[in-house]
Amino acid sequence: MSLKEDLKHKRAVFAVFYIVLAVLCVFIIFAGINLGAMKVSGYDVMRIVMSKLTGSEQLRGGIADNVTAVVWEIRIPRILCGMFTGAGLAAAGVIFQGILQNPLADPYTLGISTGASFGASVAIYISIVTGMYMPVTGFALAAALATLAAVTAIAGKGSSFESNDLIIAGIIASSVLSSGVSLLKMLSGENVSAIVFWIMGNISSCDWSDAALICPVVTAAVIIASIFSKQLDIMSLGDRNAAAIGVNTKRIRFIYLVIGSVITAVCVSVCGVIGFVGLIVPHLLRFRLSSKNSVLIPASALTGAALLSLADNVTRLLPGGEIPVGIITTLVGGPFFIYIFMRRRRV
Amino acid sequence: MSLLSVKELCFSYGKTPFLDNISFDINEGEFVSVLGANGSGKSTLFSLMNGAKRPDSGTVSYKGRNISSIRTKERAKEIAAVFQNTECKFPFTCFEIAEMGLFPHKPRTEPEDIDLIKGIMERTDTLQFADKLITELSGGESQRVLLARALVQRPSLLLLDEAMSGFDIAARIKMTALLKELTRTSGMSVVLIRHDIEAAFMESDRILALKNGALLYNGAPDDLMSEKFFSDIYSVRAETENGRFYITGTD
Repeated sequence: MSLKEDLKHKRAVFAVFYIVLAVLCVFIIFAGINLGAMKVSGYDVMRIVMSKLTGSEQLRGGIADNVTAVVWEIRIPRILCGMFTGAGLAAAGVIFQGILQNPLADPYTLGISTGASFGASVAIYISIVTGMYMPVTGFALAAALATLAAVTAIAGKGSSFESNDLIIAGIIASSVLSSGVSLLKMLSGENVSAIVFWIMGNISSCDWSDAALICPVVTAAVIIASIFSKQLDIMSLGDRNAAAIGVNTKRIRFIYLVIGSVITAVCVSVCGVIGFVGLIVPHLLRFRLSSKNSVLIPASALTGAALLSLADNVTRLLPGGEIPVGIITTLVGGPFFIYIFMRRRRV
Repeated sequence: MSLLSVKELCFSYGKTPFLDNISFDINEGEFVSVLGANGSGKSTLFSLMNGAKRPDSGTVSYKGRNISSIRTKERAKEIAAVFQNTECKFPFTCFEIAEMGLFPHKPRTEPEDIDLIKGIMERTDTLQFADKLITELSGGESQRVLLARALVQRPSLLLLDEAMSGFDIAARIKMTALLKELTRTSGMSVVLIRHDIEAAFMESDRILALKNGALLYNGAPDDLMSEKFFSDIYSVRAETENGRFYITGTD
């Protein structure tokens, strides 16, 4: 096969991959909406969605209000949050692996998630002590962004955000904040389960306000990340080579640092710490599909979306009640990662 | 005609002076080797020549423009560089690596660009690796692919910092022949940092030799070949005869 034909063939393979994943996502959405004690037909789901989008009450004539409420207020926002969180974490994984030039980096390497956990723990602790409601997501997001600012300040001091500086800054921030979380857990006494449960990663309580935060941020971030993907490819050759090919490495690394961190901050603030999606998906696709970020970022986003929402559906099917989806992703993801890692080493 | 002009260049790391008052020109179509012992300042000089570092004083100008004032992407259209280190931790195919050389010129590879990349890969003997992953190649093979990438940039000035150190002898001879042909046919200039002194004397139009951050020698190989040259630059004793040299011991 000539190089031109090979290029055409690869583009066709990528297109088929995107289409298959998009169809899979649609299938998972409908399966997810229908999971649970209350069964709703696909046709009724469509009517409810169209009715809400158009504001026409007539479209859902004959469907009980409680059915509409369960589908529209509980199941759809939960599925959307799961899907976009999976997409965001997987895309952020690609970004962090790229800017840190490390195939084992993930969205949590720089301590952004620990920052969010600390913020959430503070909010939960204040609620426990004072009895006042504290917006956990808001605290988590603010702390995650403050962590990003601290990591950027430490790594950017007198250098050009080199990958080792960023990793060291992330380790420092993560260690300090982990101690903070441990302290708050200790101080929370018998109410410690609230903090532990939040950190486990859970999308069962997501509502439209969460979806309204996650969906646009992840969509915009994935689009922006795809725009500069060529520069991210070139940075894989190391900073000196990348600069010699015309990439402003400091600027590009900073842009991607902000994009990846904002995605992580938003996803973790809403859903807690959901492990392994941001590591396994980019790692698997990089070695199976392509290393080109123009392909890898959207492909990882779609795969992450399908994977996390599928995992969430599984948690809802388990006997004995739901368990946080973060437990499932780590329980299944850990051994699976060991498998692909060992297999790749054998190859 | 002078392509790159270095004038009274001084550079220090912190308070430690590293390069001292260096001046030379690189002309169009020249093949120049830079020699010097470890730590003599060769790689730092390269970083200043391609604008990656800024001098404390003095200037580096490319076609009359201060190199620091040329934007990174514009500079990459004119000057390409390849380094000894071939680190790439991600499994890009060698074609994708070579394709990266198009970046300064256009954002997306068009079908007509494939012929250009393929042609350069063929001439650099890397087309056989086109579908292979860079992570699966040996150091020397990876260096060849990175050199092919640099030629895809279609530079007027090619800087090679020990970029052929991993080549076997046949690969080095073939690549040097190709680069020398390009200097004649397209006017591209090549500047190489190298430790292969014999090859430098055989192949170069001119040699620049550094010692402790100072440019001690700048001239044609035949004019520089002397026992004093080897003693000054490498602190070794050498005998020279009929344009050849033999190292006999250290100073």
